[in-house]
Amino acid sequence: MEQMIEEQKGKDSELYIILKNSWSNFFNFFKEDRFAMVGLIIYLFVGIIAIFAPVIAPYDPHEMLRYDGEYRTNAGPNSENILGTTNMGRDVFSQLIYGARPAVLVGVSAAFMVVLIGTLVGLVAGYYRGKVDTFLMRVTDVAFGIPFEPFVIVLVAFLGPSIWNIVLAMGLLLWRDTARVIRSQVLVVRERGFVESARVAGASNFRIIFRHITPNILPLALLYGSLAMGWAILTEAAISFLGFGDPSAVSWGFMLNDAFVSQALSRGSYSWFVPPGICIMLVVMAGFYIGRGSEKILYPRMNQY
Amino acid sequence: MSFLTIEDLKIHYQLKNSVFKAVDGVDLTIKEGQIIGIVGESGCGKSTLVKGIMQVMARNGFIAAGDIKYNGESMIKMSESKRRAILWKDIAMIPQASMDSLNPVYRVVDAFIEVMTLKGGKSKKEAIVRAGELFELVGIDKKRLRDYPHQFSGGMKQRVAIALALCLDPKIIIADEPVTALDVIVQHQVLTMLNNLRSQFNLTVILITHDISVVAQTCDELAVMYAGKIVEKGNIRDILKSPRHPYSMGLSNAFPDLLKNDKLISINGSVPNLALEQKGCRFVSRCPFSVDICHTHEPELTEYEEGRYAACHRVHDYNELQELAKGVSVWDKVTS
Amino acid sequence: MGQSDFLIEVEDLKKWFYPKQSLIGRRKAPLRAVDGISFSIKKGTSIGIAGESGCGKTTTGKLLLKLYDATEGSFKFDGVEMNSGMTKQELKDFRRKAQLMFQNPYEALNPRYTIYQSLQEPLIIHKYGTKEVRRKKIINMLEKVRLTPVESYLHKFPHQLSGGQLQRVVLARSLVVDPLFLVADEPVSMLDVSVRAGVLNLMREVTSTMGLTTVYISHDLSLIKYLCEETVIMYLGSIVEKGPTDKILFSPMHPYTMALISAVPSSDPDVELKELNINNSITSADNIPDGCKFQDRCPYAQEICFKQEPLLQKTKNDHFVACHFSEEIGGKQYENRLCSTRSYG
Repeated sequence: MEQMIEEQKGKDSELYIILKNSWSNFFNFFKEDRFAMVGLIIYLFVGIIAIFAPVIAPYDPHEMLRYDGEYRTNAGPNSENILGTTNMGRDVFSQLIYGARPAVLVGVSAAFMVVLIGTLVGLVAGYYRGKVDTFLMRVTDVAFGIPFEPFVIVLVAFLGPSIWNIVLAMGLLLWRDTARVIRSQVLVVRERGFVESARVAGASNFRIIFRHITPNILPLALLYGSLAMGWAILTEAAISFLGFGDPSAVSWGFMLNDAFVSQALSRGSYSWFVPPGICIMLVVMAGFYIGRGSEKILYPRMNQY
Repeated sequence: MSFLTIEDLKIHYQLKNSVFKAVDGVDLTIKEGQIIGIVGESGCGKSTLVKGIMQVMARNGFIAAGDIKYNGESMIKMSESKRRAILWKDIAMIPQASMDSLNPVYRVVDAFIEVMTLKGGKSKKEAIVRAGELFELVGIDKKRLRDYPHQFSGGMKQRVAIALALCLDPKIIIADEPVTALDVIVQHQVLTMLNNLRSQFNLTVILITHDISVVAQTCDELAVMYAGKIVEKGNIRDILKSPRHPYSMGLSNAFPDLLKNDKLISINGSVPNLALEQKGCRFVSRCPFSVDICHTHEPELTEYEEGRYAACHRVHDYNELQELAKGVSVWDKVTS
Repeated sequence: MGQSDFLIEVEDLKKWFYPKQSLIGRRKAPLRAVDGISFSIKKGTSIGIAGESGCGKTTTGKLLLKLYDATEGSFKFDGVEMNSGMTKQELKDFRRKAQLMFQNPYEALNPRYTIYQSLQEPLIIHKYGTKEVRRKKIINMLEKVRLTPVESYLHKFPHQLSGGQLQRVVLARSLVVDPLFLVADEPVSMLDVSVRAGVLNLMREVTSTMGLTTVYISHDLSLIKYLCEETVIMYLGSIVEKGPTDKILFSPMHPYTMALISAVPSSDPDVELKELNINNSITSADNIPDGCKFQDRCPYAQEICFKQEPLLQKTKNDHFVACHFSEEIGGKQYENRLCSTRSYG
């Protein structure tokens, strides 16, 4: 008995419990759905590559390689360059590895912003309802009315091409789906017995929102974060491909743009433009695999058989 | 004449790593014109039993052994089409959540037309006339046939569900918790109606419920289920007045009654996990009267008096046990 | 402590819900969920509120806990008027003294909190003692509701407990802040039959040892009989009969009460199922006629019943009835249901 109480002491922090439970739920869900597991593995794999890019990549992605004093341009796969070189003599494989970095950066920070803004808006709108809800949901409607990619392009053109501006642009718009879904979930959760029970116990609104409702919608918010990650990476690739990307960062979209502009396609340098394409496809697919699994959380009855 | 017999029926559910034995060997003979009650707490397998008879188990459920015979013919072995012809036409069911069993986008009459034209081979006109008759039978105005389900109150919907079950003149009606969640007055009306229907049409009714007082005034026969098995069955009056199985004794202690002043006593503990192998009597962990043999040998359901069955090793000590069972302290021995 | 003998005094309390008015069409009438009820509850006693669904019994419970603000009328708690002008601190204080026990134990606890956390929460909110004191209090409370050994429950999550155990936790949670007043709305209707009795006995015992004033809300008269000293019968937002439980159940004076009582099924197989003496149609609370609310279901209704609403009046056997003809109906028509036995055919 005493021992258990002692153990309890350290774990008394409610934030700790909330996080622990949400995360354990989040991972249980991955354990159960094979597709979601594949998605998660792809994300983790890309993450590891991004972190260890300098170790894995054989060359600096910006370095123009010279062999025997000659720039090796437009080379096919060979023993020194697994995927060949670009028209400027840069190693494609190294670029591919380094390309994981902006992808992860964009993905994670966009997901973070989406979860943060979307959850807050959804919580406040769903909990307080009435005028607050109407106002926030109309703002959401406006966000839904803005076409996403043109908005990002315009904002980046306006603020200057940097990866952070792309992230900012995404954060400004992508929260809209999360906010709506979270709001509808909050509307359900706030009617549940334990919320009323907390109110009877005298809990303040703040306490009810953050101690009782948030833990119950957090898994959902995290799932929307995973989806947003895929979206963000895809958008970054599109923006870079269109030439509005950050010229100093080697991203997969940038590689595609580079290959396209230097007419690698017509030369048939498949080893240059196919791998970044596959990488983009994989991470976006990973996002949707996780989203597919999320249906099980949203519609638990699908889970029965 | 017995015309629906259930023989050693076992219905199991395939779980991920185990088999959940929801119904584990049930024998039941249902005579024509009887109302038979099946009582037990949730998880005792009573709903699964019904689903088994109607062959509407969840997808991971299957009949592991035994047979259901209707007029001497096995319903499990008969062809799909033949079984379908029997179900609803001869054996109809009032589902547990009959409040939600009507499709909200169709008028109530459409449900009747659908059943009667598809299954009963009647014309649409005949179906509407018949539906009107049935509505009067269950005490709803004919005009309301053209209403939508949401325009009916809970009790009315329950009656509509009964009318719908009756529309092909079935011989057997299976009612799964027909009055749970209804107000007492409506509950009373529904029970009275079932009673009247039985005497009018010689209908056979199988009444599934957890509430002893629901069966006490309507049923002729009673089967008490516990953990997938029948622990006691026989004439309702005999069982309620002089229960032979400790579980039945416990159940009658647990109910508040307007006419009694006794202290209520609960049966502590909970139903064993039916996905595990059972050893000994299934009730042993909650039974205050268990002896050594109860832990090792499972008692058989035996007929120890004409028409009275019980599955208990101490069935012959019933006089003594009934006295003991009235004491609160006896049941408190088993910790919750 | 207030001076009054009564913990709860309610006078002409009303709660009307106003439906959203559409831009076109007729103005919709308000839903008169609770329509002028008066009663009082002595300290330390328990009272049962019974009636069909939609009669306003749950709304009444919520009014007594200030979960709704009354549309009209007065509600005194311990002699103090509980109106909308209360300060935040006063309301919080009231929240400690008045507790609700939920119908559905599977819902009443936050699924992501351990039992310990759930019980600790009200203590934290009301700044009760230090961590040590709180822990002792929680353990003590769990022992009181017989969840022993306590240590095996403290760190479990709700889904790991059975319904009966959960309802004990819910009870412990509402009592852990030492309230004066408890409202239990259908406390056992979600529980399995075999464990109901345990929870009911526990409630009876704990509320009496703690000297609580209790309101039980249930459609089940046999439960109210088991738990309550006084009973209030509601119909469409009004009280039709109130008084000591025994008097209500064994010599009812209102035709509705009589119907309710004879509708309660008995577990005695010798009691006969009788036809009820009332009509089926149910008036809804948003379309209440003039005169007596029970008029269209009442077999004894006469002209005056359609014109004038009967007031709650004291009758000869010490209880209150709202019926123009209670004296005649009450004595004459009610047969003790014990007399009619069932014939076996």
